[in-house]
Amino acid sequence: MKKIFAIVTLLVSLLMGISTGFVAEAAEKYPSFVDGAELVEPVDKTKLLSNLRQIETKHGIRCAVLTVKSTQGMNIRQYAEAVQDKYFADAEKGSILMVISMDNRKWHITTDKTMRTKIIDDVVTGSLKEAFIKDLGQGRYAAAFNNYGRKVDELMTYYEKNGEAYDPSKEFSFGAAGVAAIISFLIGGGVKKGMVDSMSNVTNAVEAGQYLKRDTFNLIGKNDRYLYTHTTVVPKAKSRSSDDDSGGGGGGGGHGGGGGSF
Amino acid sequence: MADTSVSYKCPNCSAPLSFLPGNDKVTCEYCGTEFEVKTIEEMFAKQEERAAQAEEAKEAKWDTAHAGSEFTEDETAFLKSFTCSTCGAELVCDENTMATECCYCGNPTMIPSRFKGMLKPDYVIPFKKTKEDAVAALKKFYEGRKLLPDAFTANNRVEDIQPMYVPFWLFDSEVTASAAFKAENDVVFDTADSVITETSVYDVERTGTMKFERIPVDGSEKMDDAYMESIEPFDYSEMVPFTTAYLTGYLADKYDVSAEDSVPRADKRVEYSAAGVLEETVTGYMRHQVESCAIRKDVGSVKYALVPVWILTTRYQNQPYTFMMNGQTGKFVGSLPWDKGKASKYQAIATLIPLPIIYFIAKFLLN
Repeated sequence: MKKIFAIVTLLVSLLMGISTGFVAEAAEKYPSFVDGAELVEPVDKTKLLSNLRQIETKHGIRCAVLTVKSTQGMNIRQYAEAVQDKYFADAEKGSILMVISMDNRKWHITTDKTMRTKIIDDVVTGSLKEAFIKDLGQGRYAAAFNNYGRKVDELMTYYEKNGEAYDPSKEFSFGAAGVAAIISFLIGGGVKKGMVDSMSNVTNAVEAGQYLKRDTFNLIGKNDRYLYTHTTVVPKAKSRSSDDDSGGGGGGGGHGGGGGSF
Repeated sequence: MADTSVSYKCPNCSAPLSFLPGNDKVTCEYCGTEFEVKTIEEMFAKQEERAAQAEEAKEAKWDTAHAGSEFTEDETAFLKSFTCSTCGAELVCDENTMATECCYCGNPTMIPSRFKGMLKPDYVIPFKKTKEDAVAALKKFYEGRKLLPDAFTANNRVEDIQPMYVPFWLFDSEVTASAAFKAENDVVFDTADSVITETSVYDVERTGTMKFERIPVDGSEKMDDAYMESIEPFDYSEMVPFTTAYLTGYLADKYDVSAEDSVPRADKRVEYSAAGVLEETVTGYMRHQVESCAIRKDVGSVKYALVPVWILTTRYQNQPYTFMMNGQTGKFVGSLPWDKGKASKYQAIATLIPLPIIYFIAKFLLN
């Protein structure tokens, strides 16, 4: 609790300090881009902020990016959710916030309850992540954040047009179709072979079990000899630590989103 | 000219005698007179002796050099002619035929000369199933065969139905079998980071004695081994000591594959089964597999028997299709033709029906 308080205090001071440089609408107290880790050049910063504001205005949402040097040992997801709840909870049509922590090179995108229905967790860790992760990893931060904004814009446009969130699981999957075709073809071939085989019941006898006099069997020798032991080790799939939650998943208060490292 | 064959005719009305399936007596189908098998056997024994002598005499005078140019000596060795004692017609059959029927007058005919110089069967399993049973079994065999060509059932006529006593060797053996198995047990440890499996491997040896009785192996070259093995088993409790009386009205062949030549087939089956019996004693392991198996035959004996088989032949698209029925149990075996078009249709259906289900499962698993 002490940590959260310290972080939020730090963040507020950052927001207050930087926000004076932006032309913000009266209804919005906090800017959409806060570069606490100083990753983006001032000229790019202005352009990025403008782009994010444009997206926010277009869709009536908050779409923000926050970079920090460190989360002070706090879990990045909890950090992001705390910031979102504190500063971006007033958006009527939902808010989405990306937090970048440079000390451990982690990112996390958090969506509030409303936004989570428009940009689902699987998309956050899927196509939205793909939109920026390469640039983020290569240090092209402005490009990464712009691409993040562009993808959010695209996903929101899809939602507004279709009345439902973009869900890749509902799209046609060529991979699954290929697998299904192969398996179905094998099943079809198996059925055909079975039917063709059923046209004949002529088969060679391989055993003489029915001519064995069971009561004549006498076990006269029995020897069980231990030879050796071999060991196989199968590593378990690592469960996601709360600090490296690349998958989606809700935090408290109906948050969604996901994160990872870069 | 003396008859070289013997027709089993009713002493009462001279009609052909037949052993009716399911009866323990030889019955005249025309006047209804019943005869004990033993009585018939004694009655025709002398007649058969004379017929055999006549055949020997005929054989002695057989000059293949003047048999004509159409047949080679090898061919004449397989084609033998006999005189029907009823109508005098010349009957031609192969070298192994012991009993047949005259194709002109239909009389059941024995060829006693074929009994000479060969083993007399120890047993015979009498026919229990009739011709009508065989035809009904064939019809039933067609039922439910989805790939059967429509033309086959629509135009199908049974070309030939023959009841035949097929020579079989019945092998008895007492064996000592030794088998080695590789067996494994697993102990699994579940730790926080990994699953550790320790597999202990054992060399397991088992030796046992056991007895097999009357493993049948057909002794006829012309009978397909797979067909003969497919019509097994026979109920040996109904097997009776051989007499020629049971052959009346049926075709019968003598063996042309010796018992010695049939031994490997019987041994192979014994070896497989013996390994299976020993395998049942390998317990206490999670997995095991046979590494090797050796069989030593301690006692082995063989009996010679004739078993009843109905042979049905039909033709489809100029291709003969043969079916066989166990003349005792009625077990019916055969290979039917199949329609490629129908097979493709069912394959397509079986491919398309599960396709969407598998697609969604695959999509769920891949995502």
